[in-house]
Amino acid sequence: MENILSTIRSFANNGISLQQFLILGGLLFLVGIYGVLTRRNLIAILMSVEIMLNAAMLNFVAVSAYTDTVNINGHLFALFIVAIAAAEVAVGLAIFINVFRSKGGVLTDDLMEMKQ
Amino acid sequence: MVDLAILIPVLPALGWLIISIFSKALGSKGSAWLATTLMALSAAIAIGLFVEISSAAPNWKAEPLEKLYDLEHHKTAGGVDHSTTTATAGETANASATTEAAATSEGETAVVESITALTDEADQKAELLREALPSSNRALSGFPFVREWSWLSIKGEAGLPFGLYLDQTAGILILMVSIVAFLIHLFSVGYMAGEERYPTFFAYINLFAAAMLAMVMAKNLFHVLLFWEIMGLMSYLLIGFFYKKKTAQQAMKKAFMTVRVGDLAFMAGLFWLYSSFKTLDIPTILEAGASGELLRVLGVTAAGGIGLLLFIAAMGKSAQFPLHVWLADAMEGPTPVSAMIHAATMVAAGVYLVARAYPILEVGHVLPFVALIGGFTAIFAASMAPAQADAKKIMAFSTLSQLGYMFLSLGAFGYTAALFHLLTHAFFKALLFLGSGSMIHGSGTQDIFEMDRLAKYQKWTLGTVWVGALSLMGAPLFAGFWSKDEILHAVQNAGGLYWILWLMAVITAILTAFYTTRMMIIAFYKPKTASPWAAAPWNNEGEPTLNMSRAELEDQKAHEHGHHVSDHPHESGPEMIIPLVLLATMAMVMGFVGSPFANSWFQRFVYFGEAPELVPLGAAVPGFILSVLLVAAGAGASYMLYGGARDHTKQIAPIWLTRLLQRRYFIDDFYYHGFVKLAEDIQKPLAWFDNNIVDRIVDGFGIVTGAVGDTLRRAQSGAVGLYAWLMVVGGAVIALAFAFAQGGNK
Repeated sequence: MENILSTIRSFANNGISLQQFLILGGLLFLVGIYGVLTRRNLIAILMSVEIMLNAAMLNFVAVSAYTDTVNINGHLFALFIVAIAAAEVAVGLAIFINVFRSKGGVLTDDLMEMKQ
Repeated sequence: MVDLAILIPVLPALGWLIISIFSKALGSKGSAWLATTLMALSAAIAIGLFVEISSAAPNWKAEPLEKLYDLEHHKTAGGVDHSTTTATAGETANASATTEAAATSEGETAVVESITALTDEADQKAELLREALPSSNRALSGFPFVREWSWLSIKGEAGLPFGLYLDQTAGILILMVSIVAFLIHLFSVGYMAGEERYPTFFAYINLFAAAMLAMVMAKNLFHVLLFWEIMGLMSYLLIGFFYKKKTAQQAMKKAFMTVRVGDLAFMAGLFWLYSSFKTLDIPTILEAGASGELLRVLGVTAAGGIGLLLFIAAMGKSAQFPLHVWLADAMEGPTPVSAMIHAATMVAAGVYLVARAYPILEVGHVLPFVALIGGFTAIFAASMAPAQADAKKIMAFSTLSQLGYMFLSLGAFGYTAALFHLLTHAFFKALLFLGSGSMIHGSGTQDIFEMDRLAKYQKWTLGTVWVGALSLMGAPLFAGFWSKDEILHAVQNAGGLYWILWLMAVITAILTAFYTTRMMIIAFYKPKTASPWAAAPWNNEGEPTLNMSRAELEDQKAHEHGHHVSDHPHESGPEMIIPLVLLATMAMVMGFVGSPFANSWFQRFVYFGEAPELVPLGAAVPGFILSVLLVAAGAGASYMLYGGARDHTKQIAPIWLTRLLQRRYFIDDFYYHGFVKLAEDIQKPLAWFDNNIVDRIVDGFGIVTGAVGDTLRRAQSGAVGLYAWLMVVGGAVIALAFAFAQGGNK
């Protein structure tokens, strides 16, 4: 853990600013949103959501590393997000498999039953 | 032994817990014997404790009382713990300050400190102490024993410490309750054999006995209430033990709700007492009563109110008029339960409560009322017994009547006599109930007319029940003789209008002898006949005392099985006979502890106030002679009517009188048609309100919610893509709003 921390903190010494991280995170987030909005395949949407989660994770780690040299709160959040994302994928894929079995496809258009 | 005292209630309570959880593993016999063994252990400790109490208690010799009461002879000073402070008062009082105060809890320390603080200063303060505690014998000799454990204490606050207060009154009751309860347990092993839920029965009576034992030992009236309520619950469960019978269901509800009226008064009384006297501690109340502080703090009105409320509680528990209605119907429970309720526990609790709250009742001038209720109940219940055909009902009315005696005695300043009668009554009434249990077991019926010459078939039962019966009648030398005589004497000495109550007590004594002899003759010596009142018109109305119609009663009878009157009664097994013989021995011996033969040991042991008041032998002898005459009159009249070859089924009393008595003066009907109907009439509009207003409102909420949901549902297109868009837009709007808000703040 110490090593990882020091690696991240060394970015700051190498002239990379927090803003650059945040811009990267923002871009990743937008990429994710774009994917969620445009894709009709559920698996692709799930992948996009994962990208969004990674963007948020990156922001957490970066802000934590730059602003707080003592604690590792942001990193802990990142760990939680990793765990929850994994669980989410497991649940999501299980749902998709069942959707595929009953509907014959995993497109959002297949799931329009609520509209009578 | 004092340190083991807590085990006395804990052991049976443990039995309840173990049997409740492991009854399957223990099996029927295992559960029964576990319960009985634990009760036996408890009784053994109780005997040890009693010996210790009786040796520590002030020993009043038959010397002039003034001399005895001279403090120079009783110089021992003491704290609450027998080991903490022992030093002579006066010049050596300082020594008590340096005691090894082995106080275990905060409360104890506080009391010890307060006493040492007083004895710290020399004679002057010691004098103060003496004035504060004129019952110096108890306060200065390390007696009564007290043990305390902190309970409900938060962050070092005193909370509500659970304490044991072991004085003479408690000692007598512990001894009586544990021994009688043990014998009832032993009897039940045989009597209940083959019944459904056999282990459950033992779990229940174990906890019942535990609650009673804990109640008489409790130091605080709050804990008395706590165990009092446990007993209420256990009596409810046990009376309704045969819960498949509708009569048992009705009886259990009746008992619980009638007693509840008294419980309400108990709680109200305790609240009042606490709010004006700031403590529920029994020794404090006793001491404050003796020092006059109770009168000063409470005043006559408040003390009267509290005393009256506490007495109403006792009326409920001890089934005094007008809350007596539950007791005769409590016979629906198994016979050992009846013995338990009528002898060892439950009804004794009321007498105990009044004895504990005696100073309050005395200060509040409630005692004449207590005497009036007691005296009335005595004669009122005794008058109903001769018209009964059910052996257990006869016993039930005799219990009511004997409890009436106890309250009469308490009300006539006969504290000692009441407790003496409580003690002897417990033994002979347990004997009578268990004996009637044996009679029922052997003959298969509860109706004395249907019992077939039991004297021929049940020799042991005959002998033991005769002992109980003679004791109940007050025949000379039997237990009841001494205590009843003591009561009559106390009432006679009370003066004033008490002579009316005395007359009532005397008539009750005749009636008691009459109906007891009647029961003995018909059940034991007469051949089997049909019950004379089985077809009486008023018996066609069903069971009005239980608010059951005839149809309901017949429905129950159709479902009952195994109720057959055996042609040849048989004697019960040894596990039932042994307790009977032991109880019969007790019923013969117990009376002597308060007789001139034992130099009135009981009267010198249990007393209220500073010193016992002994009846000189010369004054007691006329009472003895009167008692003998009363018994002879009652028993003789009974023999004249039923004895020999006379037809015992002949209707002697006018038929309307029999009806009146069998219907118990229509008081139960009055309650059902008065109070129960009244409650129904009140609840009818409330039920209408609930059904038509409250329910409509609730339904309205449901309808509105449904309608709103149905409308909003149409907004859901089901297109996931659209949802995602809306979510992003919404999130963006919120983010922008936050951003602007932040910017605006800066």
